[in-house]
Amino acid sequence: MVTNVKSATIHGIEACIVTVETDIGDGLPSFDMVGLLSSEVREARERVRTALKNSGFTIPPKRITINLAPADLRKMGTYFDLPIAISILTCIGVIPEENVAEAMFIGELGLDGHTVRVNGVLPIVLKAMEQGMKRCFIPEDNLSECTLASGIEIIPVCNLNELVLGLVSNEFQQFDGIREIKSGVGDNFEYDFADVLGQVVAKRAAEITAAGMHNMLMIGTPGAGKTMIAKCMPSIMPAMSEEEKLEVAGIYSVAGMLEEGKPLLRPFRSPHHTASLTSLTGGGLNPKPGEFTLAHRGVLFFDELPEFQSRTIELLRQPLEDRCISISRMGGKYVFPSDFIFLGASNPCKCGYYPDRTKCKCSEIEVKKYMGRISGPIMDRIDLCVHVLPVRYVELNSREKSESSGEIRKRVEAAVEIQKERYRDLNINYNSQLDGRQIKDYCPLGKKETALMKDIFENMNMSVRSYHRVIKVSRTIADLCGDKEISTRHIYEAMAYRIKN
Amino acid sequence: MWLWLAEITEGNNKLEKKILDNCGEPEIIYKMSDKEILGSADFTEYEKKILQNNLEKVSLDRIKDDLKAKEVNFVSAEHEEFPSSLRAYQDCPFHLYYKGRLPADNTLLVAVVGSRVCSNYGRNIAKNLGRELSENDISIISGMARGIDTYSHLGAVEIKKPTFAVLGCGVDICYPTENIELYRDIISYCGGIISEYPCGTKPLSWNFPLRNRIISGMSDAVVVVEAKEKSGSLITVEYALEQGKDVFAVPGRVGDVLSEGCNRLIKSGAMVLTEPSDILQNYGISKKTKCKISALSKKNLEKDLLLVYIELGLHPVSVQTIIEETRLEYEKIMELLTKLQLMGLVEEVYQNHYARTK
Repeated sequence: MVTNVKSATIHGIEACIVTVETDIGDGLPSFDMVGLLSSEVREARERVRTALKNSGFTIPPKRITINLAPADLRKMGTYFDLPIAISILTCIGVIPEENVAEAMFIGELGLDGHTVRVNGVLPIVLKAMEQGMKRCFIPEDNLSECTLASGIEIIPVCNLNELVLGLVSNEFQQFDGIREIKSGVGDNFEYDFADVLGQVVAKRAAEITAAGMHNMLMIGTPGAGKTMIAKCMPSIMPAMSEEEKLEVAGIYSVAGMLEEGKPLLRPFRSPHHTASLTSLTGGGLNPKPGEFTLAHRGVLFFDELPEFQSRTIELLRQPLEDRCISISRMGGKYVFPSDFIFLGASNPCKCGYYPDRTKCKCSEIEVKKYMGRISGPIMDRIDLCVHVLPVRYVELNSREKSESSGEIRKRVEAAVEIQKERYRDLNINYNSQLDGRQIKDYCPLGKKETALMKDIFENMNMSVRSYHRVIKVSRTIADLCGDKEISTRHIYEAMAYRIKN
Repeated sequence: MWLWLAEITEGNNKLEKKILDNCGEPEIIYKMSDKEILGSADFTEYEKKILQNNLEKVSLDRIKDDLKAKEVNFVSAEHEEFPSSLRAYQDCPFHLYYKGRLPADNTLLVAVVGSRVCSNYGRNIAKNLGRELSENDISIISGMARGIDTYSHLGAVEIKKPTFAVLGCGVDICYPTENIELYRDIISYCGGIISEYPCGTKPLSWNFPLRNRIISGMSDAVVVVEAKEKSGSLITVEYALEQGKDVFAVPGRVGDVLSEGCNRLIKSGAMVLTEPSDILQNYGISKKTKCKISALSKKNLEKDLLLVYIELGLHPVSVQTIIEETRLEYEKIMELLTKLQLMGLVEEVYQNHYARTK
């Protein structure tokens, strides 16, 4: 007889349903597995056999054939130990077949029958839900990440015996005491703008960046606080919606980076400048998400931007343009989401002190060359640029408290709401996503403002691109102020963030 | 014949002198055999190598054709076009190569020299000096090096006046390469590119201090705009003092590394230059235009604008600093700065760093 048990594997960051079919027939005793299996899946045979034995079950000396369907999909990972075991037990009649229908099993087994955590459970659970399944059996240790999914019965499995008992009687102990992944708003952030003293200009630029999902470049002397500002960035971005949380948790689940007990916050990723290309884009035989994807819905920070190889920086083009990254591998084409705020930090020159000529000995050519390492097309996608000065003693000792991230976030959230409302007919959400034509439609300028922009454009040696950027940034500033129209005030401020070539 | 001599010695003044002292006129030397020349004086190994190499290679006809093709002229010290101001000195070059033209003998030439790494302050002063002096028909002579040299030439070229650059490489080579536009402009505005070295001579570091003697020798006064404690421009000053020229120095702030050399010059007796008319007065020239390096037209500015404007100098100041000093709101300051920029009074020198333009 043949039994079917549902399981799943991860393809990129998406889950694919896999059916575990077991047939037990007469013949020489054997245990065969087919279905385009990678070696870790093939090894499941030994694990399952031993786990069953140690849990007190006897495998009949018959010809056992197991097929993981669809057979053309490469199966990887250790998701299949548990479903294979259950499939065999169903096939030999230990578990009634109707009790495993409409259920999904995932999990690795230890030799004594206990379950071991696997990566990527959350997307699998979501997929099961989408397929209309009733229950999902997962390793106990994976439970916490599944609390984000509601609408499906999730049953943690501690060991094989316990599960079989439950399946036989079809009664399960519902897991109690939801170990929730705290969704982070409030004081969960490690870094807060309240701790950043002074830096009025940079903080304001960060606020605008967060409100309009712009990209920002910070230039400043070593130790000026560029990194600190970048690290504070997630704390002022609007709280994630449920949908966004699921996206992020899914990615981190696949990457095996969901930490239990830690709140789920907007990600902050800061790869080192020696990071390999695949570690950024994602890759491997069974492609795993890279830094670009891990920064999805959060912040990607490149410290010491000119130190990055030009090839590495060029990789940013696709994520900044399309908000996703596609990679082609033997197993097919994978598209990973990568919608993030890009932050760059850079010294002004090799020694780091330009334009302070008393300290900086670099020639102008060297200064130009240093910044020139960042290619034009990438610079074109950076809307704001600020110079960060080191904090002075007066500020360090001042009693005035800096504004906290919470207060800033309130303004940012209000601005984001205004933008959502304005762009509800378009498939964009933020000012930074406006293209040239949309700018005309959505950022109309009054008479005074048009005259000012004309003046600026003609007298200050501006390109069309940077003209558009100034208007987009002005729009975000106006949204932050709650103003309907862009006024000259906003334009003046936006001029401060223009990239000075 | 002088051309031939220049070519075989690669413009090496010392070597040329040695040969001439020992053999007499270039015509005589030209007729001598290679062996005779090499044996004529006590040459060092290095000098011998140069001579040997070139005696085999150099052909007068080919060089003449080459110069013609490259539009390069050659004058020997005997020629009447040769700048008479140079003849007075002991180590006067025996010849000059030039592109464009040489300055007429009656023009006043002022050498503007300074550090290659310059601040915004030095840059502005060099450019203004170049412009204002040229306006008053004083030509700028300098070395077209990066920094102060370049900006002083640029000031002159901006108003299409002739200016002269003395290079440490062949005149057919533009060094530094990024000055190619300036190089072309100097020639097209009746100025000249001058060098002692034959075409094709690479910019070798030991040639540069030597060309400074030509800069100071041709000029009537030397102005040092920005110089560090140890600066190449101080070599020019030394030559100038030997040659008895006037030396001006632009003062800087005490403790400013880039002005240390200038301030020391002033201490030891150099004339102080704070505006171009200081030079004009020295030569009894009445000003054609009002010249001032920094003018503060306070009255024309609104109160707010003035508040920000007085915070700025020729050295760039960061917005952050302006905020702390003026205690104005940040948005307000940006508004005022942009207005000042549109009025042409202020420029953004570097990201979020502002300085006065004049």
